[in-house]
Amino acid sequence: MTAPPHRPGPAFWPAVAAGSALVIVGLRSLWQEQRENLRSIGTWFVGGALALDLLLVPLAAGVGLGLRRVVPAWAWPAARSALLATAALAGFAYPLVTDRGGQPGNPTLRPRDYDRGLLVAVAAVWLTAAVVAAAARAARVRSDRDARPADTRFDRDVSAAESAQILRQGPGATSADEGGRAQR
Amino acid sequence: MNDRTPEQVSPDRRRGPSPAAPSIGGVGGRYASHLHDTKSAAVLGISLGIAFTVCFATGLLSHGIQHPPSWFTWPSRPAGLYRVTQGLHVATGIASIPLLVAKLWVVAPSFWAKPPVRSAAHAVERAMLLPLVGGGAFLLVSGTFNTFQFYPWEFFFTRAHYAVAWITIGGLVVHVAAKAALTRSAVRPGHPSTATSPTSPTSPTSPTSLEGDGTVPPRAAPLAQPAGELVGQPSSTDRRWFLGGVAAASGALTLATVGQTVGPLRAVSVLAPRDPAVGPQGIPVNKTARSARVTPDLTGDAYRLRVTGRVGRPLELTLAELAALPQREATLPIACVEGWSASATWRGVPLRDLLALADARPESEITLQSLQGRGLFRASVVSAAHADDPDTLLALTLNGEVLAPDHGYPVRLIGPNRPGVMQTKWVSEVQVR
Repeated sequence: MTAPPHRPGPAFWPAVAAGSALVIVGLRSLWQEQRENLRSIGTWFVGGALALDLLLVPLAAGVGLGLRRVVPAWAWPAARSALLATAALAGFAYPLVTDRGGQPGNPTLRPRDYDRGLLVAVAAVWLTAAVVAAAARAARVRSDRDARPADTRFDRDVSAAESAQILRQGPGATSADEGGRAQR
Repeated sequence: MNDRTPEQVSPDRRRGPSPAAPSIGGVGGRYASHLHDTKSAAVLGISLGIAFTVCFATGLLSHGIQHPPSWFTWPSRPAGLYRVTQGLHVATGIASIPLLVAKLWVVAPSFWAKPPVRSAAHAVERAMLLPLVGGGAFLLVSGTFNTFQFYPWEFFFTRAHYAVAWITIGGLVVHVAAKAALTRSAVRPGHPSTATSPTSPTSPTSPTSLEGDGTVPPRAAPLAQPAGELVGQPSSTDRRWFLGGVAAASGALTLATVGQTVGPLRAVSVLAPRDPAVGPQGIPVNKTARSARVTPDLTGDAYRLRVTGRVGRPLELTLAELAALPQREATLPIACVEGWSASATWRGVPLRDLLALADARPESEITLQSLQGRGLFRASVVSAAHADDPDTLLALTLNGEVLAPDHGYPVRLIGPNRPGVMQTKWVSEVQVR
């Protein structure tokens, strides 16, 4: 849906012909088989497109904008993914958790506890996102540290107390560091 | 230990994932997020194109098996093929849900493009988005609801779903043709500049605030662009995070449901509308005896299985007489059009043995009738290929027990590589034509 080339490629118009023919096949089938239900089909068809473009997408953008202000920047990409997954899971499970539809007398259809299922799935998503975000942050911290080879005092894992001591000693004071390494 | 100099560290790596700003700065295309970019749209578009094509092909196949045109024959082997194709149909559709939402979010600025139409070709291209987007949403929603047996509409699901699939695929053909060149150039490796449309000039005010520590997101799309263009230029790290997140969401939804047909995953599929191990005799049921109005007086002593039509010797057998015929055992899946499947061991009289007993001609067309009083699926046609397969059984037992009423007591059809709706239950008559 981005800006099209102003001059369409050679395949465009043949594709329009083929695509239109397929659309006509579908419309013809609807007309022949479901003529009395065209209003209902049209409602769900056009409603689906409008709901996606005018409701769901702006809603997603709004929620994203709102939450971005409260979620730390380093955690945002993972949180955004978790939000999308949560929305997908919740949207999918909506008829299940609100008990819509189904078949009375058939316990094999929808046999699970879907309230619990949705909670478990959403919890698993956020737990995964938290782990991934933490791992990515740790990797980034490491990467930033690796990117400063001139300062070799932090080239190994040091405790907080040790690092404070190293910093107190100032630049170039690596003897303690070397000593520490030798003791291992 | 990493011994690279700072210069050797890629800018992306130093930057790390930086935040996106998925906001709408007002109608007119001033979207703030730098993730509205052509390459993300291209990757999602390719994924959706593949998913929709798989859905269309497998759906068309399922339709063809149930309503075969004269030139089409569906083989009885491999026995589990339909289980795979229909499982794939439903799983791919479900996995497409987050993909479609993400794709529409990425390309949302184009929805508000000004001017809305720039040429005849552009007008046609945009008009054909209605069949694609409306049809895509219709198919995903109606297909999902059908697996729940939730019908908040007036139309007949299978007919409408089938017809709308043609409409959607028509829209897809045009969209693919319109976007093929742009998509190819966007995903071609070694073209970092392809984050923006090659047909649009790169803005001098493209977001550059990503340089640096990455904590300051770009606040608005450059104003020098024609409104509605996808001008986002995320770093490849940001794009990877975004697309990875969409893939993860799709994967989460898949994991939460696919256990209805992939048995080993049933424990994690907490949102699956079926559990392949839950049901009478450990197998789910789609239509119960009660809902089919098959009552004990129909299946008791008065029950007879008739073999009628173009046969040398019409038959009328009691259940005891059927049980006295040579039996055969087969382990076969029952695979529902709604995407669940389960394997079981069935035992009964091979249909071809019964036909031989009735002196039916080979290559006859067989129709099975059910005691089920009404409903579309009270009868099914058995093609010659299926009738001739030794594992196509008129089954009397399931997993070593007499069939439960909901599984078709006293006699049901079970054959390799057939949709569940064609595994007729409560069989009362074998018609030979």
